[in-house]
Amino acid sequence: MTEKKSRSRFSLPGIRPYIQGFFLLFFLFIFFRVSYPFHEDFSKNFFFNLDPLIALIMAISGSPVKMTLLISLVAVLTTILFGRVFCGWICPMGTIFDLSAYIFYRNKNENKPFGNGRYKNIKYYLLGILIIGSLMGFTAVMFFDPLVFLFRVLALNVHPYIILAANQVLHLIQPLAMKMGMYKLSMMSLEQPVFRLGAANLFLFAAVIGLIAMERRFWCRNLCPLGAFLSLLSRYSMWGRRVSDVCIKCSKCTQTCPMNAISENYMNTSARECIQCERCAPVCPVDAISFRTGGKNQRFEFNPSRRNIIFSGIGGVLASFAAGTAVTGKTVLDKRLRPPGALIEKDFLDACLRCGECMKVCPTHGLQPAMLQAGFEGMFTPVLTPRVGACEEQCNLCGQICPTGAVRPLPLEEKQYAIIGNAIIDRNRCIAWEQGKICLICDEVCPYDAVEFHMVTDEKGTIQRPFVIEDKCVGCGQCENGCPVNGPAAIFVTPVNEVRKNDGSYITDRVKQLREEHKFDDEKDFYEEENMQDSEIQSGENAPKPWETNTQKEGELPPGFVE
Amino acid sequence: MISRRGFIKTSAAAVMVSGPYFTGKVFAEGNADLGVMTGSDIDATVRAAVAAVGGIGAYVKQGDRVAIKPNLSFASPVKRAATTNPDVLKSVMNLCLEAGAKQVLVVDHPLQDAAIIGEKSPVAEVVKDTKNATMILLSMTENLFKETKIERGTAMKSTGVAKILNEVDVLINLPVAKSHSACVVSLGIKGNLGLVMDRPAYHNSSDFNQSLADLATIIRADLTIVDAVRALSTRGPQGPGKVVELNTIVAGKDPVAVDAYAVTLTPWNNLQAKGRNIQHLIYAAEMGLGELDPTKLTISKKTV
Repeated sequence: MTEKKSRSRFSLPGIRPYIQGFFLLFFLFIFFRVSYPFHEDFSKNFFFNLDPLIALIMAISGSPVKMTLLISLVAVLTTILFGRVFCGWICPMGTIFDLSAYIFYRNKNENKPFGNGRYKNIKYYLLGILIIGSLMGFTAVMFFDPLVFLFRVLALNVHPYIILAANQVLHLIQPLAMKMGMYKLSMMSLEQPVFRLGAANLFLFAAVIGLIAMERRFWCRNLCPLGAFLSLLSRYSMWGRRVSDVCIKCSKCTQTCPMNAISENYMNTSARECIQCERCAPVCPVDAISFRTGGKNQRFEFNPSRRNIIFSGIGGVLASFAAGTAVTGKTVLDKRLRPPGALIEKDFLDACLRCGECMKVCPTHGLQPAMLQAGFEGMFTPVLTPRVGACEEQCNLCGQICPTGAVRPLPLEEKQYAIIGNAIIDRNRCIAWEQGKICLICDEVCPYDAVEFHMVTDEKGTIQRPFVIEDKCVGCGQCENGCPVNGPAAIFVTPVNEVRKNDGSYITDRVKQLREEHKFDDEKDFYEEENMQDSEIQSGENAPKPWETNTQKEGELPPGFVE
Repeated sequence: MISRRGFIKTSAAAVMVSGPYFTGKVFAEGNADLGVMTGSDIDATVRAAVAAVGGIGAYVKQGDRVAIKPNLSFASPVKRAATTNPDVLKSVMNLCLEAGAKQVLVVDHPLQDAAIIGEKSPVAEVVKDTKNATMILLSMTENLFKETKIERGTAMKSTGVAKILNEVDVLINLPVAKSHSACVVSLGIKGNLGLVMDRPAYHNSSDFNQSLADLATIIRADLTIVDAVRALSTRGPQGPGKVVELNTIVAGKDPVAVDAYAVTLTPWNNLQAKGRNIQHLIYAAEMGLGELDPTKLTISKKTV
């Protein structure tokens, strides 16, 4: 046995855990890099680009496939030649299962395959539902892609608590840092994200992890749609497990195999199930097992029955009908603000992976996972929730980061013209309208200068009250975020006048003209002095404005001004 | 009768004193209450204005830690004049460091997201390039502020004040001159809001203008320098609005007087005003925080 161990240190199975660890850390590294300020490099969406299932689903659902997704051809080719190397060596989700099994079940023997391997085919049926579903325009099932799933868990469930812990640490060291003169550190505080619907995601993940009690890689064996896709590709891989005649039938290899990929006579291997982890080779007491090309392998496979494949196809059709809006193309209209540059709702739902990258990158954490605002299949898609955080004028990272282009990568200027909704004032709750207070926060924070204050005389007196200029408002929600009333804001954004485009510029002549019309003479003075004639400035001043009825009278003064 | 020798001596002395003056390096220190300087060279203008009110040495001592409170509320371009001009800030930071300050802290609680200000504000670059200067952007987090009672407050009784103020020897308020839709102008007294935690509470208080004066009773800058190089004269506080190039710096010890003078520089929202027209300055003067009528003070007004 001692000889065996020394051999394994330098062999492929010896280095596998380190490679797995490297890719898991790389995944975490990429995850933490997805934050403001973001600087693009090769690592952007590395794993999503490598995931062939994403590219496949994008292609068959009719969404435009981002060129970067073609990187996944590398994974396809590797799998065709060498089998499910991705599952055994790279997939960070698989690594987490291995790690959890190592921690919780180190000293226990591998259990008998759950249900004698009867459930292995579930993953093919899930894949079938997924493919047929996306043909019907229902891609919400991307939800179950392991890379997407893991990123979403990290973004919605892990990250907030890392920030919480970091803030607690910052809080603890504050007095010390003050004393040592490290003022920047002592005054640091990270924006605390909170995500609704996070619990649902966490329960799902906990369940998937919990299943390792039954089988070490329960998910990979029985459920993973990406695993199913790769296993279909690896059917004729040239590389694999070969057993020589010296086999003494001791069954150690089958006890070690995390995938139940070894036949009952220990000689044959399922090329579809084997993840090439090579755990079986070092445990063999007679060195009968090798991983190589050539040699003979009496293949044996668990084949999904034709009937069940047809059933899963029907399942996909039913799923898309159950979701409703995907098939009919009639999307749910509700108060759901999409990130600026989001595709037309139907196409957006097709292309969105629900990976949570945009929610992670959003500096204000205003992008939240949708509950049912966008229908059942819209769950976990991003919606802007201004009361949590508004869309910053100077940021366009949600589009820059999106792996599939569900949110278009708009340049900053384009983004500032992408109208996601308009603000509306609830005069009954507004403390300026109702209580006559000098509150102008909505005007103060509006980066587009779309909130105006004007004197209005009513039964409460002559008080300055806010008005929204719809033509300038893009719906960023800064006003809703800043509104000082408790509970729902007195000024809030709804998707009225929302503009959604799959291509082309948001800066149309009409939008430009509308903004121009509402530019005030003083702005024109400064910015376009050279191009303006005096007469034009005059006409701008004389142009009637919608609020001019019943507003400021001659000689009335703004608040804070004393005659 | 001036002797020849005396004449030569005097002339030489005059050249020695005024030589550096004309090169824009050293300014004769005056002891006016307000320094109002106009000039196209920003650095020289700032230095002249500070020199006129006693020179930086009167405020910053060797080894002091100085907090400068500019207006960094937005990451908007310099030409919009919604935030303090980076060149003005640079001059003030250099002045403090030249006077022997061991550290300059640039502190503000911005309206916009602090991470974005730190990344995109034109001021961030300037602070980064200055040795011994640190930018501290506060966010609405309780442990960065200390709840402080406002004894004389009527509209605001208590507020969270930035803890960092306890660590510094000198506070220099460096607001940009801009119009404001709730209190006509946003200058030094209004700028104090960038040192408290809960800004919306002020707007929600019974009287916004009174609450500003209340706050001024507990936060009093040792020196106020108003950046009126470019003034946002309409559509403040964020604009974009009419930007007037005044090329002026107003400096002084009395926060009310500095504001009251800066008010007169240009019409705000097309209304020409004086200190006695601005409600929050009136309240502040009534509470004895400063002089509302700058004509009662000595003003050193020059073009640099």
